Amino acid sequence: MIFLRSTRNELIKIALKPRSYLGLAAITGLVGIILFALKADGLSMISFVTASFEQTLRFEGNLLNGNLVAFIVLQMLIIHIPLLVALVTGDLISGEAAMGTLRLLVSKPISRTQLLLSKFLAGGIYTLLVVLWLGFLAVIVGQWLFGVGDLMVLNSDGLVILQADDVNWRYAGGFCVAFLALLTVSSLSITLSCFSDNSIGPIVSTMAIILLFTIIVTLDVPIFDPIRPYLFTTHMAAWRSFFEDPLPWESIKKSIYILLGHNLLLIGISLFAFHRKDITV
Amino acid sequence: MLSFGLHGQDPTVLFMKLVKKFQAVKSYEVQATIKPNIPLIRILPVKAKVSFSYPNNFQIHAAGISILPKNGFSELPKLFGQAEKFTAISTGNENLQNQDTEIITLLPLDNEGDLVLAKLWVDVSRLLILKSQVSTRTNGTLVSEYFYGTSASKGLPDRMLVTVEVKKFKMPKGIATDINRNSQPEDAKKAQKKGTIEVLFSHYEIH
Repeated sequence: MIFLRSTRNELIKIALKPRSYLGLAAITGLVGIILFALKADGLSMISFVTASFEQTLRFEGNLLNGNLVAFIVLQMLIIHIPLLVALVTGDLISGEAAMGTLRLLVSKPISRTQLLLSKFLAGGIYTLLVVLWLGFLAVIVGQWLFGVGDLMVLNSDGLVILQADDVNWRYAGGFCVAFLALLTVSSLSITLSCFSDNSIGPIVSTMAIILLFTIIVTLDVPIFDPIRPYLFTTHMAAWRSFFEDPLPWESIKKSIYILLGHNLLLIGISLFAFHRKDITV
Repeated sequence: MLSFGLHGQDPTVLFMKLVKKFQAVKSYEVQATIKPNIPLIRILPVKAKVSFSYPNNFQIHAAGISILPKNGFSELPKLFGQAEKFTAISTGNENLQNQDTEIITLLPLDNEGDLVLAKLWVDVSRLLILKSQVSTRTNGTLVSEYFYGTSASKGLPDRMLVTVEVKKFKMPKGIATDINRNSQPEDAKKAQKKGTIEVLFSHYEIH
């Protein structure tokens, strides 16, 4: 009971911070710009992708539809969302330490474990809201503006064209995996927040780690081959696997396990650190 | 002329007979199932409704995205629509679909048009084109095979198999990059240079 009350308090604190709305506003603005650009000149963007095929073939039907628009929006934004998540979750402990309220908080009749887990849960709920908002704008608004149709996806193996009635469950699955990836970012920033007494440090550190790992993932250097499959950034784009045919279940399951493993490991580290943290201010 | 004598009738006369048969059908509608089998493209068969009106107006209505050869179904109607611009010569015989066919090669009279060369494999006894090979400056060479059934008397196929060259396909790298994927495209796919588009026609409504 006290855990749930603590979680509710954490959610209220998140809701009262202006920066919590910054992320949602940024997503709204960015999606709005992308939708406007695609509405104005989306066909030329598509022709850039299909130009090579159109020397021999002709595509019939509505290529620029809501499903494709949603996919483009997700592909463009899912890389930037971690910053918006870390902006809020990286502040959950270090922010309280900076303000001097953390000492007061741990003096209340709630264990440090419960207190920390309630912050993790609140951070997770905020992350879920961000993902749901992104999903609403990309899929629902996208389909409303551009209509429903078959989804044409370009991946490293070529073009995959998925039928319209085969797409919605893929989005649902894709968003679940995207949420898990962003939850890992949230967990990472909260964990770093346990080691810091100022707000900015964990946020910048989270982004620096994501940047570093992303560079390792994209650099085609053999020395990184052994560690690359275990970096969470390798699996942040796993949502795209839901748009392949046939579905690479083994690859998706592996990504889910690794992301879950990261979350558990980060929660474990933060519990250890938070229990040993000397809260003097 | 010797080969003409051996292989059958005057190719110009034969070609004009084909043109006349084509002109007899002013418009039709037909249900089509389009089944592309093209390297680098994965797509399920698509059902569509194809409407034709003389001389060369095709409209394709499909619920989703479908893939067709660049000129759609209009390669042959284009030829028939400007029959006076070609010289037809007989270039041999071949057995196709267990039928003896006469090969007619169409050469354009001027050098400025898009068409470079066209070959038609004609089943003379039924006056049907079983295969065509059309080479144009803009689209390269397109080979189509035609299989007939219920509407053979009108010269309308039940099945059409178009072979397209895919060696020119290139994936735009920036967009195709998928950092979550380590596997390379299959070697067989890489080596495959040709794809096919099979179109099944049914329920002709000829007007």
